[in-house]
Amino acid sequence: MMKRLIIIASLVLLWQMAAEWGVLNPLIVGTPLMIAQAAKKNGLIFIMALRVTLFEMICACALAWSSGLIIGMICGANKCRTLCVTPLISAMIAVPLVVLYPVIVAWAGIGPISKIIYGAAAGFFPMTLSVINGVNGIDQRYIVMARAMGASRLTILIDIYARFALPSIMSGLRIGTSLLIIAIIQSEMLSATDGLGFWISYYRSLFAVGDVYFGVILVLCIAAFINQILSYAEQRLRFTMI
Amino acid sequence: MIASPPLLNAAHISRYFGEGAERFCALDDISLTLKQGQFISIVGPSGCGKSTLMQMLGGLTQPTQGDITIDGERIDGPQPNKIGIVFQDALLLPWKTALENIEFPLHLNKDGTKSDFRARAQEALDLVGLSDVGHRYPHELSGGMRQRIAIARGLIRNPKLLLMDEPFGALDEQTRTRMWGELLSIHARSGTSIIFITHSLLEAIYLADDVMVMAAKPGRIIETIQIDLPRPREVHMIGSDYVGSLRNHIWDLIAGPTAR
Amino acid sequence: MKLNFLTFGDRGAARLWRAAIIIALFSLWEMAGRYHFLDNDILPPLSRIFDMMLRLINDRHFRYDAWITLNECLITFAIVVPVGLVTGFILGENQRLHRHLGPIFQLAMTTPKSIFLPVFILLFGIGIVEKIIFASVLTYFIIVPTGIAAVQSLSPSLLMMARSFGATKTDIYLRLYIPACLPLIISAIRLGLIFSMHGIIFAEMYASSEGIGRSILAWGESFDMVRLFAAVALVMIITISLNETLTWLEHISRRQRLEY
Repeated sequence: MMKRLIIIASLVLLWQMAAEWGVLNPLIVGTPLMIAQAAKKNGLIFIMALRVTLFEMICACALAWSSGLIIGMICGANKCRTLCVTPLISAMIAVPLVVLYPVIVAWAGIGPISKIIYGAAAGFFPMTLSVINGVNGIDQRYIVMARAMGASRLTILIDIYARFALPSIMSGLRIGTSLLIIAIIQSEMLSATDGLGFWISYYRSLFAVGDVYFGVILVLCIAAFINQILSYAEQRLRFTMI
Repeated sequence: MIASPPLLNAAHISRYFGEGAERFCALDDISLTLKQGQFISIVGPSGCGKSTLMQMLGGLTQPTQGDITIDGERIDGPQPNKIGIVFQDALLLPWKTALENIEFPLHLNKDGTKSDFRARAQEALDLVGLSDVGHRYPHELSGGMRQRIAIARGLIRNPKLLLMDEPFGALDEQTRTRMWGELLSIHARSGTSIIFITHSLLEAIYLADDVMVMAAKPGRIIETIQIDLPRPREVHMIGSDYVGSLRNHIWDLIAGPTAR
Repeated sequence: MKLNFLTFGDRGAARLWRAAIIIALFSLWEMAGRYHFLDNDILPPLSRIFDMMLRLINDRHFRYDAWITLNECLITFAIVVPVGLVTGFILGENQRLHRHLGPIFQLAMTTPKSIFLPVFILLFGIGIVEKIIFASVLTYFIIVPTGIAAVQSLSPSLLMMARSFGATKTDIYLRLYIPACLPLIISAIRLGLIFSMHGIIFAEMYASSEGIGRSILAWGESFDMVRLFAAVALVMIITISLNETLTWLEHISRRQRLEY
């Protein structure tokens, strides 16, 4: 851990020096100092933008997770439904979803709603697929056994389906959320009025290099943070479930 | 026996794994010589380092101490033109036909034309008695057939030495017994030296000229026994008193008090 | 005991249902358009969109844009897939490198790399080069883990077998990894295609003067819904067809590599 911090710190120093000695053109490549200055000057704007972006992500997650789980479990539990739905979902995953974004914007405007819808869509398909695969893979004999012991439908759903499918579901949620984050950032960059993506683009058009880098770092931080939380949750649940 | 210089000479080889406190000795001071045309089997308990020994003899790993030479030259890497190896699982490439699998070593060393390779592969296939299955894929063949193809592949470059690491381990007893006959006739016809590693005491005795008995922890050779059975061998010899007493003797060596 | 046994009935039923759902959706759409359930400007009827799709295909400007986008995708794809696969192979083989560099790729997979596009534009300006570099970087980090997985899926004994017969590094890459991991490699190609397209189209939408992405964004901004839907539909048809073809190829190659 210490070693990594030292490596990062020395790289940052090297960067600053390279720019000062003219090896790298600071106007194009930027320097750590510029990033710090940008942070001081426009920090507040970025924090407000962060709030907006985070809000969009959370709403999109809520939407994607709930619909993904519900539809995934309903379809996964039934062989015929699975076979019917899975090709449709796989096909949607193959499409570069960005092309649908202008459609969503035309319908929902360039405010946060379009981002939430788009992000949710981006996360929904991979998540649902994972949930279906997780539920599908359950050995039907467990269901038969539970029913023979008199378990109600609800108990079966919770105790058996949920438990066995949980690893797949968690991993699906994690992957889907990554894609969701990527989608929301992309949508903010394309047409938006607020949010980190928007402000990064804005500063890019002003050639304010320090601000651009600062924004990028913030985005990376959120993404890393959320991914860590989900990974951690996945690990913990894995242990408690066995 | 013809008095000729040994083909293979392993002098005081040892193999250690790990470093510092975790260092342990897998093989301790093993020496063996092999003459041209000789059939040696190596038998020992699980974990005695038989496979490690075989990998060193085949040039796949290096001994920590000691040298192995073949034809007087040190073995410091795989020797595809002098040594052929038959592994425990046939390890055929699933996407190639039987003939293509047998040709595989030839393609790697590229000394000849494609039709040349095909002809030689068919010859090797004939040698192991599977002339008609050349165009089948491994998943279409039985375990015994796959091993025979692996043997054909091992022999394709006419090596002086064939190393076999428990090749018949996964086969049922009857197939195994039939394979013994096949292997012995291949040995007689090709004159290749063979080092055969096995768990099975009877297999070791029945096939070989000499049996080297190993012990575990650390892996070492306890005794080398010369087998006084005439060639060609016959299956009924397995039921003889001679073989029975040899087997008991080896069992005592491996599982008895001296094993520790 | 009820087993997960698929009869033709299940698959056939699923297909029928799927067709029924799609037909129902399309019919609903068409009717909504014709009978003005929804404002025609928001959701144009299917027939008009279909009409426009044909008109776009025949339109020179659109074809030119499509050509540009396609070229950019192909170039990206042609660069990244081989380089990414080889990187994946190297990392998969080499434990040390994997330990040091592996986490970087893990990290890269989950970050929204699109956020670097403004940085790329600052560094390289706006143009084909910047788009290709961006899409390449995006796709590269997806392909490498696939390459690593491909190599790690190979049984190490097959590797040992090939080495014992004298296989060089090139031999191993060409004759072992590629044929053995063909399904995963086709999967890598499929992902390469998807993500190249994603990256290129996004880069075009963000900052470009030509290409399909640019046109789609422009039509969206000017609320030219019919053209927008038509173009989106065309892109979707092409991507889905490519994806299905590659998935089918992957499926076929998987059957050939039947484990035995």
